[in-house]
Amino acid sequence: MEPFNTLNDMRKQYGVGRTIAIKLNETVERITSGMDINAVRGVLRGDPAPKPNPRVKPHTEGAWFHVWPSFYHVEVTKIFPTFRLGLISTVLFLIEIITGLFLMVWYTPSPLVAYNDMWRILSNVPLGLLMRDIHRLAAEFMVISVALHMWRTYLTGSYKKPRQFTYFTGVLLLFFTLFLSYTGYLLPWDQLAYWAVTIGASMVDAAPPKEVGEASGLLLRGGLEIGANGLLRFYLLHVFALPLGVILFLFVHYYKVVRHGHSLPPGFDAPGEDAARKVPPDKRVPFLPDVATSELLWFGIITAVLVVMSAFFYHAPLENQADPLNTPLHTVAPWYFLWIQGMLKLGDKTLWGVIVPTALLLAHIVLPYVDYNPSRLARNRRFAWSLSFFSVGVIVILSFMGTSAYLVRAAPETEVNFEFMRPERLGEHDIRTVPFEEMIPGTYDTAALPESLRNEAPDLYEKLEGLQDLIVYYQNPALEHRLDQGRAIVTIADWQIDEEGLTNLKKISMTLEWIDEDGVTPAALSDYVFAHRDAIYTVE
Amino acid sequence: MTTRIFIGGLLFVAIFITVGYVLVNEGLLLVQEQDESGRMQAFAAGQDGRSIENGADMFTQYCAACHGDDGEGVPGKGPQLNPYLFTTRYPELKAANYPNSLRNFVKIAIAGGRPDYTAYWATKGETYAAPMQTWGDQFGGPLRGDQIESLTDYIMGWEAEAGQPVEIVEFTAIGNDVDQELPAGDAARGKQLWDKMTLYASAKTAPCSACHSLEPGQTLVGPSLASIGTRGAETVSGQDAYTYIRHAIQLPSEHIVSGFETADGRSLMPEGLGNDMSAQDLADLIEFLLTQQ
Repeated sequence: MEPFNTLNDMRKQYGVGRTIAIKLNETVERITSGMDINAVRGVLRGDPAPKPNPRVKPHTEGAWFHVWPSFYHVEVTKIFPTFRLGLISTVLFLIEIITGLFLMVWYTPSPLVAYNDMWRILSNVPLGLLMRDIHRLAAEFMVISVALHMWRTYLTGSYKKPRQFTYFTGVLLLFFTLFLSYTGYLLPWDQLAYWAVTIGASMVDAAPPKEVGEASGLLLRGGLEIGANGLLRFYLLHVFALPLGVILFLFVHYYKVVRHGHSLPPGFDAPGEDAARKVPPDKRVPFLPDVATSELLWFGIITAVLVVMSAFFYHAPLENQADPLNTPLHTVAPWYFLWIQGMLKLGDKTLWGVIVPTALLLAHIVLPYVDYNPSRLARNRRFAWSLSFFSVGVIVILSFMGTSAYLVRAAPETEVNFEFMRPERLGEHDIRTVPFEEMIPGTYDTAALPESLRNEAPDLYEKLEGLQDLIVYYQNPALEHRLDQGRAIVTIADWQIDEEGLTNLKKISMTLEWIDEDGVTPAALSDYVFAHRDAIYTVE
Repeated sequence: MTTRIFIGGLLFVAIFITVGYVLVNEGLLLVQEQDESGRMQAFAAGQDGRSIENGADMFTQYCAACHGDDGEGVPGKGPQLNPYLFTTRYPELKAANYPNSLRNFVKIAIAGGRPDYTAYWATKGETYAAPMQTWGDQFGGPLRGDQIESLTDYIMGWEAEAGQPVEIVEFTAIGNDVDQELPAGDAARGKQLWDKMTLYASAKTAPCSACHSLEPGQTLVGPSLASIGTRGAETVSGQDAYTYIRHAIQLPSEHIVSGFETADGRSLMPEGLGNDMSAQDLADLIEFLLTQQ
């Protein structure tokens, strides 16, 4: 067809309907960088690729699809051996960006308003709770999936020559992911956030030499303590610098993967050879439509899992506003840093908090370049596999050591008081997990609970019984400090009423009484807590 | 391919149904806004509830020493909030064209404190030992803005109670009648009154321990009452310990311990303490104090 000067000329030649059809076809061809409507239709219908194949054009001529290869080796399109973990990590990152953008609109990184903004998102923004829960959940899943991806890459020896640099970018991405999770952890500005991050930031101070450590700590926190400056820096890291880093290195990482080809399952190549790039035609799976639809499906599965879990099963915690003057008992790091907290309990902060983790990071980076074993098969890499499983075991044990159950117990009366009346997240023994209406005003002796209470207020009875069980736990003769002959007097009182005259606030007082280790001196501890009818708590 | 499209379609529907279910329960519908049955309304109430809990905790920690555990006031230390603030104080202010809201009035009082505390209360005949301190950190106090908000939320929670009819307790006050014969006193009950384990006949708590310590040398607001059982006989000539203590409670400005008087020559110890106690209450308290040898 001869070139037309104007649409009008086309209309005169072909009529309005056909002109629109032609223009539509051209538009589709421009958008897909070379596939017209018939080609797209052929892909969707599952037709075999025609010759010449327009389906490679988006890859060769388009910007976006240039990232993906136009075909994959069939062995790497299955679940085993990659478990699609790299794809899962990328999908989760994308979901984090989307939910993060949503949350960004409603959040200001200032200690004066950040906490209030969190409640505003939960109480005044439609779907705010869902978005926040998905954001939190996907972050945790992303840490798991990136770590598993690295572990898989190690076990299948995919980091070996020529993919050493790919592994290096991957280790950096793991570091960025952990750092992203850590910086995001502070943003709600509640007690959990503030103190968990303070622990981590204090490790930076311990970096040797002393001047470097102190300067780094000041740089990270924006001051001697985490305040307005620190929150802003963490926020900028979390929403700008680190995502930018991830995107840049993700492109490098994936480009390198495609450049060398996805590594084949171990055993496909002879040791030392790498046949990933030379894919025989009968083993090729085209990106369009097969791999593309597979990736879309994974995106759908992950989104569906996150949405359903966040809607019904999981809610992100929100404690009281950050109070720099008040450290809660049993402060722990986020679970993926528990192993570091465990290491810190072993000894010197500088050695276990800075030097060892840095050494581990460097070891991972250096490993591909010094690994001399050309084989990727497990049976030829017994030492590597053993070392790997041993390390994972050590990390698990260190993580247990990082929890508050290990080596940071306070005096028994403090522990019992804490379990019954936690100021922040409620535990299983907490009195405030009892439904408000069941908190019947009165005085109760946990050593002599009335049987009638079991029917009247079963939850309250259970919690008071649980309190006595806690006290009895600390009567174990093996313990140095005990609560012998211990019991608690719990008083519940109506405290305030609402406009309709119904009680909406109750005060719960507890006096713990026991005999000291000398067997003679009576001792006591008193505390109180208030429970509001409408209050929403985070329950562990 | 067909399986993928099928599963993909199923997931799409599942996501839409789940998000739809969440949206329906969010609280966007008019009926949910009106009867507060949506999730968002529950979270808004939840935030208020937590704020009031924290406010109650802080009030007990910082404010109850002067204003009483339930805002009932401590004579000589802090004025009554519950329900006086709502029934009398704020209506008086409003009648005098005070332009701000009750909530803001409370917030200003907490955040800024009351440096000029004598002007208003002196006209009411009440004295207070010290001015209310500044609490807000924007004015140099120890509490953050959100903590002031929580305290205000809690105090405003008493407004509902203020509308309730007040229980009138029938009893005969001993007042400042120092000549009326008192019954025999029970020191054990006096101790219970002192420790606030039991109440006066007027159903109020004895405010003595807010200002007086029983430890020697410890001055809270008023002088220590350690060994008052012996010292009381030696202070005013002609008065034995029993009479001295009785006069001190009922007529505090009759004899003022040096260092504990106001600018206009009255005792820091407030007048009218006898209006809240019956003759038996007074007798029991005196008997208990006499045991402090």
